[in-house]
Amino acid sequence: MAGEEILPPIYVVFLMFITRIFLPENYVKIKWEGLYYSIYRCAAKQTIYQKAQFEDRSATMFKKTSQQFIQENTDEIEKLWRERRSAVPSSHSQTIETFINHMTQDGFLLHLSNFFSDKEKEREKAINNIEQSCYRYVPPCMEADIPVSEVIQPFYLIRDILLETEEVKQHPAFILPLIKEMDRFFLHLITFIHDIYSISWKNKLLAQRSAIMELSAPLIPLLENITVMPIVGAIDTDRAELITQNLLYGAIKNESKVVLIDITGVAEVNTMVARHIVKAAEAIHLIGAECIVVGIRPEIAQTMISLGIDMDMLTTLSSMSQGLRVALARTGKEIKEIN
Amino acid sequence: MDNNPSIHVYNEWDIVVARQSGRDLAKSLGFGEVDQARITTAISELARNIYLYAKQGEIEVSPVYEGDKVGIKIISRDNGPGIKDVMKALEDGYSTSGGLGAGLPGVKRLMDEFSIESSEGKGTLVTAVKWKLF
Amino acid sequence: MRIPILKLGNYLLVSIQIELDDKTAVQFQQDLLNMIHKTGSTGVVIDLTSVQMIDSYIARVLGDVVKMSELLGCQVVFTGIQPAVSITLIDLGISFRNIKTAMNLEQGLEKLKQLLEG
Repeated sequence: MAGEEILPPIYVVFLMFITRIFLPENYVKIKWEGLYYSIYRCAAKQTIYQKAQFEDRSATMFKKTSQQFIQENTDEIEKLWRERRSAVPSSHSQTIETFINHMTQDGFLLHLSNFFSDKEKEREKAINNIEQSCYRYVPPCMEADIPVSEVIQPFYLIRDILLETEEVKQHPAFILPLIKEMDRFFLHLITFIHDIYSISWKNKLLAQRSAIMELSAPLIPLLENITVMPIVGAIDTDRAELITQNLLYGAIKNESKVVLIDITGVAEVNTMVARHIVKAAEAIHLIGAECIVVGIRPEIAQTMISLGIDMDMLTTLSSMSQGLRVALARTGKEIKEIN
Repeated sequence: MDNNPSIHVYNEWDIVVARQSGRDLAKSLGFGEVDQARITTAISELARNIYLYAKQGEIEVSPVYEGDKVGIKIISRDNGPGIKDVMKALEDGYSTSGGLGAGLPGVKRLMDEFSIESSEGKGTLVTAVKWKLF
Repeated sequence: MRIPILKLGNYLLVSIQIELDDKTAVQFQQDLLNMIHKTGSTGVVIDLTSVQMIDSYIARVLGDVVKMSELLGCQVVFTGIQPAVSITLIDLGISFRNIKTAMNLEQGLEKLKQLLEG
């Protein structure tokens, strides 16, 4: 594209000569400067164009060479890599060694070499293959409690190995593009390993969270028509939501007429917590059961009254035994002592 | 599935259509039973506000994604008389239609995010989002 | 669409099996009051097991039904309100504190008996 505008220099000089002869002095002077300018522009364009072409060619060459080089020297690189790894002290070397061996057996270096391919499909396939290997072999490292930094570290060694080869030393022009490409590759790999780690942590956290939620508010079908739910720990909005839903579905499942909520174990009863309890009690009323809240300590009673929380529709009692007695009475039962 | 179909509201039946489409979307996104009811009810309240005050307008229900969160966005738009005092309309117990006064504050409580733009004579735009728990 | 109202001795029995829309709700209010007046029933059980959503408008209609029925000397018990509906109503700020509820039809009738016959 840029080449089309380039005038052959000889032709330009000829043109300059002709105009000089046939045109009046003043006119020529003005035109002269314009011509200089266009020659300058053409020359500049040509340089940029040629340079770009050259760079493009060298990049392709560099990519091809790198791909070929890694493939031809796989064994040598692997050997060097192993040596370097053993030189780096690590408290988990055994597991990491197994991990790296698995990765190399899966053709890590072949995939790395294909990352330099100029065919987009081949590159994608290489990345995909490496991701698959990571999915397979990173989790065992996670289970062995190896920090993610130590899992990643061996891969940096490969970069050094490749940069220090004779091949690269002979072609200094390769150094920059090689570093650039390698960094792209490792950034991808490292991000991927990090993702595997963080996703697993997140899942663990969620599993623990729901386990804690279930443990800290179990639903106990105590007697026919009576269900008890002791609540332990702090209550936030998410937990209140879950507790309320558990209570309602559980009460229906057990056909409970009375639901006893024990808040003895709730650390702090503030306005928000009190509102959640009142809301739960109202919801229980709507589904057709009755709610009794037990475990009201003196300070909770004080809080509720001073905050002006309307507990009219709630039956509240201080102890579980009182609550149970009331619940039994409401369901037509009573506790009788037998000597 | 149609992308963000907006439902034109101009009679009582459209309220039912709007809330049914909300329920279908909530169900397909995996919302729990309780949140399905919340979303459906919020749509019903907004659609009724349109029907009662603006006479006509539209409700748009669409999925939203933010990071790994999934949610439902409800947009209610009308060119009706607008609300004179938005702050007051969001107070509990305030309603010009003589309902239980649940209308807008109710929608705000049912959803996780709520915003309203309204000016007298120019109509009302309500946007509300409900996020799926884990 | 009309909601069928059944007579069971001194009581009336209503099971709402459809998603309530405004017109149906208002029509139902009318029909039930007429039926109470005509039969002189002293109690009604309204079963909402199949109702999946109650918004503030329908809640108001139902709340009014209770008050109006009481004016006619008839007690109303709601049964089978689903947890999702119940939580939504509470979120809306409608707690129906003075309304009688029971978990299912059977318990609803039992509750009416307790209320009316002691």
